[in-house]
Amino acid sequence: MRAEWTKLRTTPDAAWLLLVTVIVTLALGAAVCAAATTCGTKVLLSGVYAGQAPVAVLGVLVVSGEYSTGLIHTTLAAVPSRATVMAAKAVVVAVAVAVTGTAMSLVALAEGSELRAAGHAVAYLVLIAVLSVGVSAVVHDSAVAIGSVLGLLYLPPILAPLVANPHVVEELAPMTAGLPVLTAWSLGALLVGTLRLR
Amino acid sequence: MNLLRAEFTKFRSVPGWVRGVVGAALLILLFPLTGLGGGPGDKTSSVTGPDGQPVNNSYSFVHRPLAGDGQITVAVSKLSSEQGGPWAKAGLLMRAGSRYAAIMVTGGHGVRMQHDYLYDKAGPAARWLRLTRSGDTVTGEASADGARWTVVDKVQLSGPVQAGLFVACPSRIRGIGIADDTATAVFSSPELAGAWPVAEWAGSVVSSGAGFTMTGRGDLGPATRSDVPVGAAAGDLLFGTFPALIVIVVVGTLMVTTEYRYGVIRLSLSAGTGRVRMLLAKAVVLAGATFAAALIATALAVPLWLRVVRSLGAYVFPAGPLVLLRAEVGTAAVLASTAVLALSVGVILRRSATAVTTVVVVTVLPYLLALTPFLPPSLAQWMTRVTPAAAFAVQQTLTRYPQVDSVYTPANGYYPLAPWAGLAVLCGYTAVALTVAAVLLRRRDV
Repeated sequence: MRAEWTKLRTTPDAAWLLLVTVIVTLALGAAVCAAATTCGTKVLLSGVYAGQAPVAVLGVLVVSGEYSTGLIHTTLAAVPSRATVMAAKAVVVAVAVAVTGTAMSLVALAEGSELRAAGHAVAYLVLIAVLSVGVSAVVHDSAVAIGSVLGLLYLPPILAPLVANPHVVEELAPMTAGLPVLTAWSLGALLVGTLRLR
Repeated sequence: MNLLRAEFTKFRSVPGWVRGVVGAALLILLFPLTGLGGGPGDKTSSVTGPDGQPVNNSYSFVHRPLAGDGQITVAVSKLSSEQGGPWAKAGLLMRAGSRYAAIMVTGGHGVRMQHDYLYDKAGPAARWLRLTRSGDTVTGEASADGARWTVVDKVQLSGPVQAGLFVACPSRIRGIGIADDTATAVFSSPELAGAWPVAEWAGSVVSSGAGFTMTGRGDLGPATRSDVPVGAAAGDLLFGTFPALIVIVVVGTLMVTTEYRYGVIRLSLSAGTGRVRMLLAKAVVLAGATFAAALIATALAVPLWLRVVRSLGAYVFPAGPLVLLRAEVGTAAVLASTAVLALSVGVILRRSATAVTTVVVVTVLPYLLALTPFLPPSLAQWMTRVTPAAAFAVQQTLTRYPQVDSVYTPANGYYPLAPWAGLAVLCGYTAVALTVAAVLLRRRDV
């Protein structure tokens, strides 16, 4: 666990990505606020539509970054248990995202006091990060992994109105369904990823 | 040329990339399958005009027959509507079957002469209106004082007609909301001249003293997407573009980041005749392969799915062959241009994950945001105007009518920019990214 934390801490990309998350989320939220008639925590946090992208990149890089440099062999030699490695990675990324998300939500709370919306946004970002870790362990290549994650997130809402049963798609897609469904997606991806590592 | 061949060989020999491009083409071709098997064929009871366009055709009409030549003159002394609709209409109408000619006073757009649903011409500020039929020609005139007349338009209309006074009032559009509206108009007693047979006025007439007071709602004009809820636009059949776009972005990025990862870039650069030329060679190969594959897919997909969807009984807005060709070629160009954008961003960032994310976020996300209901319409229009997502305007196959207020949003299939202008926005971003990539590639120590 500490090893994973050190890896994450010493990669300059991670801090940048988290910073970009905060900036992008709040910038888009502010733009929506400026154009809309009402503005509150929830509206401001609608920026996570864009802010989830850097979080997904972070989740993907934690795994596929090791593949591209070959570090994964060292990691797995040191800790042979695949499940432990995956769990450690997921936990470290989740904590980092949670801390960033909470800081971001505190800023958003200045616009109103919708604690529920703020908590929802943090949980959402954490689950997206875990989902990305899992997907990236399944496909190994970072470009393909991030393409899959973003496709999974952004495509269903665009395509839903045009398919035969829009509601089924909306209730199953990670972005439009509720947190429980997203949790299922994330844990599922993590599980498949762990099995693929074996 | 050798450089192009080298890049093409590299591209061809990586099975993943070829599979990606072919897969993207298949996504475009096969994605509409997901839309089938849904609701039963919704045959709309939509009325169509003489050109086969769906039209709105409900209004109040007080009329009498006219077989030969004749003239009708009336003054509209008052026109108001509950919601203050700018296209509330009151005036004179002659109609023969599905064709008509009308001159009217509107709520906010002055005097107009319109005919056969699609055509509209503005006239001078006036209160007096006159329609004259002579042979097969109907002339519309307007006057401020009933003495000096100005010709607004001349329209062909043959056969016996029903002629008289009409009032219509389309629903008021507020943002993306629609409010029903009703107009009330006060006319003077109409003056008739010519071969009018002896008959009474027929229709929903409310007479008061010397003139007529009428109320009306609905519209006499082309229908738009929001009027035909179950109708589809031909551009909708290309919705496989979005998954294909993500695949192409991944391929475009990998084409250069893989070289960085395995150090092939050093070999390429030392063998090639200049870094910028190598980059251009890559761009040409990638754009060419993407455009060719995507064009085959779109050129097959549109006619095929149009036929399937129509045979299932679903209503599809008519679109001319040139419009469909533009959507097909334009979609292939969007994919090719986005692929080069991804390649350039890949050179700039040298990391696959960040490059893919950047390109997807600037192309797909603005379109998604423009569709979401929580975003104010002004921002939605903006998203499809200045971001690379503007390029999806090439898929617009619906016509936007200046004489009809409607919900003209990207979600309904109407884009703020003209098709090629939208594509030009994307190409602008691509050109800038390619230039930056070329400059960085020359300056950097690989």
